[in-house]
Amino acid sequence: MIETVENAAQLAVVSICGGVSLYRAIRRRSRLWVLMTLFYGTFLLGLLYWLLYLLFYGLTPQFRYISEMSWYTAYVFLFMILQTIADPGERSVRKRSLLLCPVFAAGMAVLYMQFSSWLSNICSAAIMSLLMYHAARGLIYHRKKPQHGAWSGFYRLMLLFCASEYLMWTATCFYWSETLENPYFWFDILQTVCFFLILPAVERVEQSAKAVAQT
Amino acid sequence: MTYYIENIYICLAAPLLVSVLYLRGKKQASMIFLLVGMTACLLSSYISTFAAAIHHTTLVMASVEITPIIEESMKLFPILFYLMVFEPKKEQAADEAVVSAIGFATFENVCYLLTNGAANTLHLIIRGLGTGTMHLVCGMIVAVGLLTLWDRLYLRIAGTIGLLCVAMTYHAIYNLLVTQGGAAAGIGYLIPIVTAGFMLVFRRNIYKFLKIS
Repeated sequence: MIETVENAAQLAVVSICGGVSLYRAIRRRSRLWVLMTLFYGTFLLGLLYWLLYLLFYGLTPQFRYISEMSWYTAYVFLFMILQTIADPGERSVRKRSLLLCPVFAAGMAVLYMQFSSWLSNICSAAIMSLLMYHAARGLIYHRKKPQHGAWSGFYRLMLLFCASEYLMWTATCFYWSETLENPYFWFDILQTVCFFLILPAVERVEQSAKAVAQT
Repeated sequence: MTYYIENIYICLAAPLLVSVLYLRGKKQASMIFLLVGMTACLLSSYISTFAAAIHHTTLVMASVEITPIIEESMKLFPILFYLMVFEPKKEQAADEAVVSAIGFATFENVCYLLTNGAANTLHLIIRGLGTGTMHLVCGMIVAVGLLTLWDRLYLRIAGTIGLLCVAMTYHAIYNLLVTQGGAAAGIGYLIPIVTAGFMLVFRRNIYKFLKIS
């Protein structure tokens, strides 16, 4: 029951954010907001399938590929959003510590493979590596520039989003209770908050980019 | 009574195959893709049944969890082959994606009629329109994507996989609702009809809008 309620709340948040993104995409005719709409839209479809399955059969799908593919596709669109808003100077950041991102993702994928399919974990590790790598690289580049606070905030949010996803996946490996004591639900709520915050964060980055371009 | 869908396929495909020999240009290509869509449906039914047997699942559960993945992939592969080998104009490829989806839906409706009977006209109108339109919408999702995303390599790869996933999930949600019966099935049948109506009304705006730089 708690999972259904929690998923329904996330569905509502993602729907509202998707609707706002669509409205902005139509009004501004901007590729960034088209990508935002695709990000929220694909995640919404996967979540809707998951929630309907939960409502009709009272359990999660036996084969999770359909929802998982939608969610990974949403993360691909999120990666394309990162590419779109990235400053060209970010590519010049070369730090060995950034390699920790793929190493961490690979290590976690090996852990998760003990509990679920290897194919799904390889896909998630690849996508999460890219997201974390780009977010960390962007944060390193922008953190010492006072007028680039919007970018720093957005990249911190991206890292928090990835952390919430990893905490959620790890919790599902060790906790299965259907009560609020299960940390999975806390991290899922955290991810819902991140979904909501991504919208204003992207808006701020877009405005900052315009302001920086004018000066 | 046992039905042999291969024989039904032969009966439906034979006149189309003959017409391919006589037609020329775009009409010939469209007829070939109608045939390709029907062939994809036949092959999908084989693969879905095989996958359901391997995973020891019922046909209803397979239609909700396995069939959408197989059917949408089978519909996309011929279009990808056409794009990569023949390098047609984008508009032509998008049209053929829709024609292929129509061929798929037609053959699926014929198979449904044989297994469930043709007595209830109202149900068949709703079911035929719902399923037919659902396949058409999934074809249009891929077509619109191909039309707008095929120019750049990274968009081509990410966009094709992404749109395939969108079509699969859309198809799975439709199947999930329709297999429940009652009000849920009614909503399921309505979703593609409403989506197709929306796409038809705003078709020019959508194409114009998606051609942003």
